[in-house]
Amino acid sequence: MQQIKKLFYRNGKSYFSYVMIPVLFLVLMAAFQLDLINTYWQTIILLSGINGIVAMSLNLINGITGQSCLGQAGFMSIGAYVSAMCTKLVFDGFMTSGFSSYLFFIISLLIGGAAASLIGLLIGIPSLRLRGDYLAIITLGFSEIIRVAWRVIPPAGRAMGLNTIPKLSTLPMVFISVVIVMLVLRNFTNSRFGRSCIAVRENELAGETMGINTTRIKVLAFVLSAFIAGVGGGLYAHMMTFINPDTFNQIKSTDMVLYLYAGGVGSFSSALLGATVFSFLPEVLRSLGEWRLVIYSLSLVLIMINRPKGIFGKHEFGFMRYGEPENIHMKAENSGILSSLFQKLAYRRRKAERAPAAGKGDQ
Amino acid sequence: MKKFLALLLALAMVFSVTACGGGGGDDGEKVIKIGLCQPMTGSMAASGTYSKQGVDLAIQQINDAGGLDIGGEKYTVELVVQDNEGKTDVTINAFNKLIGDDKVTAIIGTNSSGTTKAAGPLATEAKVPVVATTATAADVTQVGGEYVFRSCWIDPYQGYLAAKMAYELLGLRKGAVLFNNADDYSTSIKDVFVESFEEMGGEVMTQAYAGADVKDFKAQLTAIDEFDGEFIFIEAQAAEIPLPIQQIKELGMDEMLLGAASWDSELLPELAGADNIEGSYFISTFSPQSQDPLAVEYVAAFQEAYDNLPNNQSTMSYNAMMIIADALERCGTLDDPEALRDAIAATDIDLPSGHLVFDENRDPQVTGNVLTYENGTPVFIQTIS
Repeated sequence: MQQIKKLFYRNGKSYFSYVMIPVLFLVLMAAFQLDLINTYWQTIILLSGINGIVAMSLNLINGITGQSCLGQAGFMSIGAYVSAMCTKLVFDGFMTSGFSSYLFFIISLLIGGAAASLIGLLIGIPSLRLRGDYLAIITLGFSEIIRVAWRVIPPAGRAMGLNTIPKLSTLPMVFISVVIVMLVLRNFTNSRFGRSCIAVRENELAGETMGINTTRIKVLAFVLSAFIAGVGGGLYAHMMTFINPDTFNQIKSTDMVLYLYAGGVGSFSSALLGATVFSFLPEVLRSLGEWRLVIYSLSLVLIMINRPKGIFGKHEFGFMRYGEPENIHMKAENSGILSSLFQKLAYRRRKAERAPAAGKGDQ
Repeated sequence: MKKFLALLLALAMVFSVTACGGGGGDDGEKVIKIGLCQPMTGSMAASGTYSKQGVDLAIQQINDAGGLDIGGEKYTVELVVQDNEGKTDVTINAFNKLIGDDKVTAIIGTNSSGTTKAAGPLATEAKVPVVATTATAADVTQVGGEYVFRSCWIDPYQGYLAAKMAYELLGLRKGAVLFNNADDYSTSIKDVFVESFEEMGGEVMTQAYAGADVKDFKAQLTAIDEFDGEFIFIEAQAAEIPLPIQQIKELGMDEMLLGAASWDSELLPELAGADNIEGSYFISTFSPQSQDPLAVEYVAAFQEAYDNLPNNQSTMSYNAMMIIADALERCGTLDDPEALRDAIAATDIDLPSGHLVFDENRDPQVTGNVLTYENGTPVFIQTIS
């Protein structure tokens, strides 16, 4: 493994993770096309990608900007409903061939994301002047308002929801969306705005004295996050082919928070991995029947007790760091349950290697 | 590290125990797998448990009788249960698991319209027949596609039966309707009731409505009182019925009270007051008091197995299993999903809740039961169709 990784070092940077993206895509694509994994597991893989997108969007607010949002399902539902209404009602006549249906699907996703970010702007402007926990409560209330609103809007099918949405969220769509979302978030975080977000997280007052318009920065992060969550919702609707208002209830928002914090808050890669692990876990445990939810919750408690930083800590994939290697300080700072376990094992191995040598010296 | 290992080992043990439980017991016998997808956890968990009791009883009866005779060979039935937590996305996973992983021949479930609509198209695509238990919304089978059936009646049909009960059986000619306009279930039944009742020659003098979470119905009830009709048809979810009933009696109104299947609730006499509902009539899919010989036999078997009376959910699940078993025996092969679908569509059997045939929309044409409350317990009057 280390040998292969070394092949991709150039000028002190590692391009290994860049290469792994297309490799992973090809592996998954082959597995899907050749039916190596059945539709059941295929759905779960797609679902974990979509959950990952929304969890990453949540990380932008909770992890990078240091605010707390508990209403991500609200943005998801706007994206889901708007894009589903687009493909089902507006663009239906245009979606004749394979190419045009994907083209209009992408347009619908963007419209859904734009609608979500517009609503994000509307609630962000008044509420982000507040500090601390107030935002959490406002977003909580907002997602409930959205849910009730879908119940009374006739084109959204009221309480019955929308069904027979075209199934367009295929593996390439979801995979490419995940990659694009990650690159957008990486570039945003490293831009002037992203650094301002981190300043707001670390110390809002200090940030303000440095000349950052903190409210504007928070609104910006909020709007971008809403856009991405909206796109995630659109993908979700076109994978499930059926949505109703109760699909996007408070539990969905809480799930997203769970994916983020179990994976490791502050890192987009950990949010994605957390969403993957915790989308798979209930399905892997399915054979246990009713006990699976007990074990699922128990594993969460254990993870949180052991390490508030989550399973994967604050580590990022190499391409999220522009290929820069992690130095020893970052490694210590970012460690999660897994990496500290590896570090412990490596330490023991070194100790074991050293011990006989030291013994010889004594003789 | 040791703790971690211990945890892993404990998990592995749990897995192996369940694996043994699932794998043992087939000594070269031919087994046919039937899936059950119901909420075994979550807010509707009770419903899932009732459903499983019904299906378990049906399977026990089938296997005790020597199994299913499909194309001259005997098969024992094995049930595979997947929990859907009452959520749409989990239902889709559970259906995928049943179809792709467990490779079941047919699926029973779910108990709600939303989840069945979400997962139905999947089953149709994979050509696995589904018999839903209590998904009553009118469009469930249309959305689900041609492999989705159900063992329960549909909402509009309930409205029709209630109208028939009022007009033909009770001889009522004019009355009022009280319903919840924020609720799909309530509104759709009310619409059909009014339409059918007027078609038969009766007169609905006023239709009063209340929104969700209304606690005071006095304004609506005073308005109804002015018309001086013979009856009030109260159509709402089970939890919303007791308050208007109490207030009707408080106002001293003497109209006869009528209701639909939501009145068939164990809690109603307690919540609304047994005196207040004395002499009111309602319809239900199934009554444990039914004198039908099949029903008597079924109720006795159910009581013996679980020590309580079967409710609607258990009975519909029992029916679903019996419909599938009957269709499998008639179709005579396991390799042809289309033949199995056609066999289910051609179902023509007697069940504890009455005779059942499917119409062209794969909805059952079943008989209903008219019941009345006497001293706080529902008493069976007769069947109606």
